[in-house]
Amino acid sequence: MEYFLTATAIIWAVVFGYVLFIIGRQRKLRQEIESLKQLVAEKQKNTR
Amino acid sequence: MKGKESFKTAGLVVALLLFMWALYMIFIFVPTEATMGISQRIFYFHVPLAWLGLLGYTLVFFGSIMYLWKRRSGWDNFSSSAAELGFIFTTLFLISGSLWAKPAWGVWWTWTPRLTTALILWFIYIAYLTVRFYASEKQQGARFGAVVGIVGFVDVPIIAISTSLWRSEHPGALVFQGGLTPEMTFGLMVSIAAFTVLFVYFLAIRTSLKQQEMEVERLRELVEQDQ
Repeated sequence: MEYFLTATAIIWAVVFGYVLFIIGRQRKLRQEIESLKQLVAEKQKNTR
Repeated sequence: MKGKESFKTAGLVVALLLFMWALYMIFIFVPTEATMGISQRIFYFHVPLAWLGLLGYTLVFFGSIMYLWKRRSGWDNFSSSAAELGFIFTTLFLISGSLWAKPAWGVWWTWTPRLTTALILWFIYIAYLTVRFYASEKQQGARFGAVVGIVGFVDVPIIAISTSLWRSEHPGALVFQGGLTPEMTFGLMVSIAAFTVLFVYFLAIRTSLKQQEMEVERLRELVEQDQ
């Protein structure tokens, strides 16, 4: 029984860990893209 | 863009529903195997994980060929995402196999052809990811990775037929050999479907994240220009 439960726990921990990694990465990238787009827009304004 | 988002959300909902069904099948529906008892239920995780390890590398192989042919970064993003996921699922496949081997055979590990070739696949995944990581340029990493992705594929069919090629204590394709009851086969199929949908969902998300990473790099270059 303990082997089955250990396997289940490890698999789910890794899957949830990966989901959290993806969510965190997605959030960070969206923020980065937004701030970089603003910087590019400001730069284009200043060069005009 | 909205269509893509709703496709991803639908994928997640389908994966979650299938997983709830699979867990019901594994914990409640399927009968307990007479000889190995409860620990045999690891099988319903182990087989789908093995399938995803092989599927992952098959996609790496396909994406690598396409990248070397077309030289489009999208194919590189696709194959490197498949490699990352394939590595994770192959690791889980080896761990679950070890946790099943202990109660079934009395050892955590034994050098049967199936286990040995599966471990080689795990090392091939590491080689693929390492070559990419340590390359001096991104494109060089993509090229080297694609070569490893194609050469390493030779292990995939060997794993698939290893139990037929060499006789050992590792069971063969039980579904095709009639070694499972109809309930067990059904439980296994639901579990395979749930894990496969999750894999496809992760692959879609991870590939799009890599595209966003490239967009960040492009914007950074624009900002840094003339500074």
